[in-house]
Amino acid sequence: MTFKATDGVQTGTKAVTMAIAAAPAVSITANLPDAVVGYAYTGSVTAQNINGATGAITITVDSLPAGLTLGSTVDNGDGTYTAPVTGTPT
Amino acid sequence: MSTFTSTFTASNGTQSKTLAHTFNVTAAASASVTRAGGSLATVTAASGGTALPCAVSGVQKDDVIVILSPVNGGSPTFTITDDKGNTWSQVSNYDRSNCKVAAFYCKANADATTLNVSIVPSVAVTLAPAAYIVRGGTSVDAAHITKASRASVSTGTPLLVGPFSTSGRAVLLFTGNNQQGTAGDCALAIASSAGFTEDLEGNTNGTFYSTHAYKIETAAAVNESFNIQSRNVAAGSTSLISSLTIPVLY
Repeated sequence: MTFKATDGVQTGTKAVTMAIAAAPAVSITANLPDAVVGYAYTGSVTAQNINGATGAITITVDSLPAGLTLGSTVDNGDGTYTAPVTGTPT
Repeated sequence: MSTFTSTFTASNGTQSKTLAHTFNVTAAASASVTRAGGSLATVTAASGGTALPCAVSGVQKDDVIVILSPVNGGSPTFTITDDKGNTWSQVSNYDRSNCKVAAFYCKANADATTLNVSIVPSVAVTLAPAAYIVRGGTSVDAAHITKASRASVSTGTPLLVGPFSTSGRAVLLFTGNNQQGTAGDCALAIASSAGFTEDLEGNTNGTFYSTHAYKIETAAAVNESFNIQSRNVAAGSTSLISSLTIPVLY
């Protein structure tokens, strides 16, 4: 952007580049295959801080298909956090 | 198939992000195996080349039909046809006279109240066939049909057959043939850690003949040996058992 100042006689301009950093945030992805009733199921959900966000991440879920549960979130040590989805669908 | 949508939330205490995921939950496939109705009593060809008519009732399109049969006499080869134009395949183990098991299978290409089957052996032979209908299967995996070993065993002495393997979920059928020793029933007792769970009431009793099928449904690939023993032969007598497994994939 370019700022402009004037006293009615003279005018000065200054081009300025302003970097706008993305807001700190959390990203989340899922590796959840289709489930088959009566057969053991294994999937996972992974999250990480991005854009300078910090703090340990906890993954929660509102509800899951019957027979599946969400395990505790584990810090993978590489900036990502993973929670397993396991169980046997009923 | 049913669907179920879950919303996952990841939070670091300050920022959070949600992700909605829809699970596809499918019902477990299940094949049913039943002893087919129809006239499948012991039949004898007067001479080689004589057709042995059988009937299999209750067939529906896409059923896999398996005929298991003890065989007596010679070293026959077979031609098998039916009145619905199904393509039949045969597997068998004829490694010794007087103790053989023949197996035929097809995938029905049409509903058929009664399937008129004609088995034509190349030589004089007696069959005591039993037919089974596998419904829900997709194919017979011929590549994995196992011709199990056959041996002379005494009552109470297990005969190890296999190992055999399947490439996926399957129904396996076993049959046996008592062709020496005590005439009559030659029921099989099968021990397997993979879990044979159903005896398909398969005895076709005739003098020295019987067919007795067991079903196992596997959830994963199988690679195992099974112990089979005759359980109804008089103590001290000897029974010859042939066995054969047919994986029907689904």
